[in-house]
Amino acid sequence: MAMTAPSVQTEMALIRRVQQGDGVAFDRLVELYSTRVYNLAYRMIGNAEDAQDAAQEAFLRIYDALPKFRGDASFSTWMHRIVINVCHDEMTRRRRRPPTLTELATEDGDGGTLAEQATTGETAEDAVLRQERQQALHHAITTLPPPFREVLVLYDLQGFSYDEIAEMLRVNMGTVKSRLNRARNLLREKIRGERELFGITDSRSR
Amino acid sequence: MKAAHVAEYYTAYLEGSLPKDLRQEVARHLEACPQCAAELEEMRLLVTGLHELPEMPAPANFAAGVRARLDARRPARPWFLRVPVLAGGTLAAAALVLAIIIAPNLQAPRETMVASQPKSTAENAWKDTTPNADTELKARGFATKPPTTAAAPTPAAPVPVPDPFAHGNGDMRMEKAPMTAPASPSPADQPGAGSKLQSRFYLDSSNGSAFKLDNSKDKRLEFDERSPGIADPTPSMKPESRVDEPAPTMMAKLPPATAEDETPAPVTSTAGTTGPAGPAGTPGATRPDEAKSSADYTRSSTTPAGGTDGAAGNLHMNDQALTMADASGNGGGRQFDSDLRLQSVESGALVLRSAVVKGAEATVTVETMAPAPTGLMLLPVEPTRGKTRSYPLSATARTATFTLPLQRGGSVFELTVNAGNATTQAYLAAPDTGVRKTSFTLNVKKAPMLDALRQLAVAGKLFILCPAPLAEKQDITFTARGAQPIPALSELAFQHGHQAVIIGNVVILIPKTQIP
Repeated sequence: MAMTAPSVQTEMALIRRVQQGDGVAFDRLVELYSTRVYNLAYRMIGNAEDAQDAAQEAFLRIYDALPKFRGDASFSTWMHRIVINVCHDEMTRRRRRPPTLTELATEDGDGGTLAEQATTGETAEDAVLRQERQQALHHAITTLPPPFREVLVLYDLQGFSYDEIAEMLRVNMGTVKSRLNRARNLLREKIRGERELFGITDSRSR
Repeated sequence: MKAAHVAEYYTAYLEGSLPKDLRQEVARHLEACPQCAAELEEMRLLVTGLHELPEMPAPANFAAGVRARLDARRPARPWFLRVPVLAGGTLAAAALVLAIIIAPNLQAPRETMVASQPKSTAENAWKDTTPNADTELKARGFATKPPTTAAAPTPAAPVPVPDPFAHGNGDMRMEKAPMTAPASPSPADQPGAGSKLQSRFYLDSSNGSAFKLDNSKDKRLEFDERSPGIADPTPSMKPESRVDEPAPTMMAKLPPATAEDETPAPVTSTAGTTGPAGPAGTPGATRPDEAKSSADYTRSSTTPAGGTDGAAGNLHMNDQALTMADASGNGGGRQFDSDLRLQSVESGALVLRSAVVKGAEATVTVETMAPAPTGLMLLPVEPTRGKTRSYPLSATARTATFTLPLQRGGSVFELTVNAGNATTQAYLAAPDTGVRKTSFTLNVKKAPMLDALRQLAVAGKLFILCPAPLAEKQDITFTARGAQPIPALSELAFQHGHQAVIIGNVVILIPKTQIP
């Protein structure tokens, strides 16, 4: 999952302007990070509508907290910590109530229609398989316990390093590593029913 | 190390970050242990798959939404800050205005529907199902529920609403009143006559415990719903017990922590709201306190009914379905942990009498209620249109049994009953081949098709069989391929420990794998 980030200079310039009360600069910051923040929320929460809501809420909190941002940590780490916290709040809220039909009806698949995706020379069947694989994975991720889910999403999907994640989550790096391995093992178990999607042959003796 | 396996080192091994000694030790173990070697390969493929996951574009109005929320919560800013964000703010304001204009139309039926429903954890799902679905149906010319205002329950007369999730220790029985009703509502108030679409679903995981209901209150497995147009409770019910009992909605079955939030509603009060009291038995006729066993249930459900073809017919068929299911028992040749059998009884023209999913086949029996049926046509429509199969029917031979091949990705079949000049259609969505146990993927290629399926479901014209049994804590996805996965369904069911999800008349059934 390739993510593009603004340069540090651009980022810091924008942050300073926001800290000086420049609303336009904040809007620009939102634009720069919206995809990244939205994706983190989407993979953490699992459905598009709640993810959008959480990601927007995260930006509001970022806006509120920005005056206190001193640059001790990287902005990205600092910002993602806020996003993770908002996602936790959202997941807690969701546990207390069932999804509405609107939520159910507006779930997004990964990447839109087959016609849109099958542009890289892959066969239609391959495209279907890939999409099924992605959907299965996405769904399986959302069923991971949050402490494992967040590490896996941050590392495998968002591309953060172990120490960035450790700083974000305020745990030590060993914890991050062990959670990641545990998350992957859990995920491996969860997609066992989908093994053929992943080209896994069932030759193993169990 | 062989005994201990090396799963804890997979990631570090793949990344090459293990200390040399440990790495060699793990490598030796992997050579000797095919299980760990296979798991490591699985993880490698999994990580590849994770890295393949695409980046989702943020919604188009995302940044504008942030700006609108920011503006909405604070006082007006200086003009020089306001100007640049005018566009976003205006958009958001326009959206708000639109929402306000549209909302009453959508809200009105919802409010009448749920005005006095007991609070349920699934209330939101239920509320949102109804109006939207009805709106969509009307737009497409489906007969939908008539306005409920006239017969809207008063606060003193709450209508019990089924929590769309059910679970229990043994088998599962769900009774669901329709979301649709006859286009002409007035005669529908008569018991029986109005029961045009009543669905009952029975789920049991047939590992020897079929039809043994748990009679403890917190694990009762039944619920009912009556709505205007559906017949009244049978007079044979004990009013006093019904008053004392919590409404047989799903709340009685929810885990204690959730149940605390809910307000039981006395069922008796529904009697006065849904029309004149009549002698007909109804889907709600089963006394909760008598639902102790299948035998009890059968007796209570055969309460003599004065209705003609409505509720009485339903109940009679219920018994047949139960008997049939019971007789079919634990068939051999299972490919799954448990077979799943589904019986639905419906007073519409077509009834799904039973469905048994085994391996890559489903054996389905349907029965038509049409007055003079001449035949049933079965047409595979998804993933590809196939050949039509025909089954002769007559007034004396109303059932057709056929075997459906279950395909990878799921299948949808169109069922058409011919009866003279009239035809009735229903759709049957069958699960995946059974190889994959964690998801139920309907091979629906386009989002509009998923909408159509939803509408069919709401109209009571869709039967959805179940996926293969799921292992504990596994989940289920109902997916339209290329369109919209609905993980929330399964997540919700899972969170509540349920094994069934009903949205409208869509029933997604998750069989239990462990029967006590």
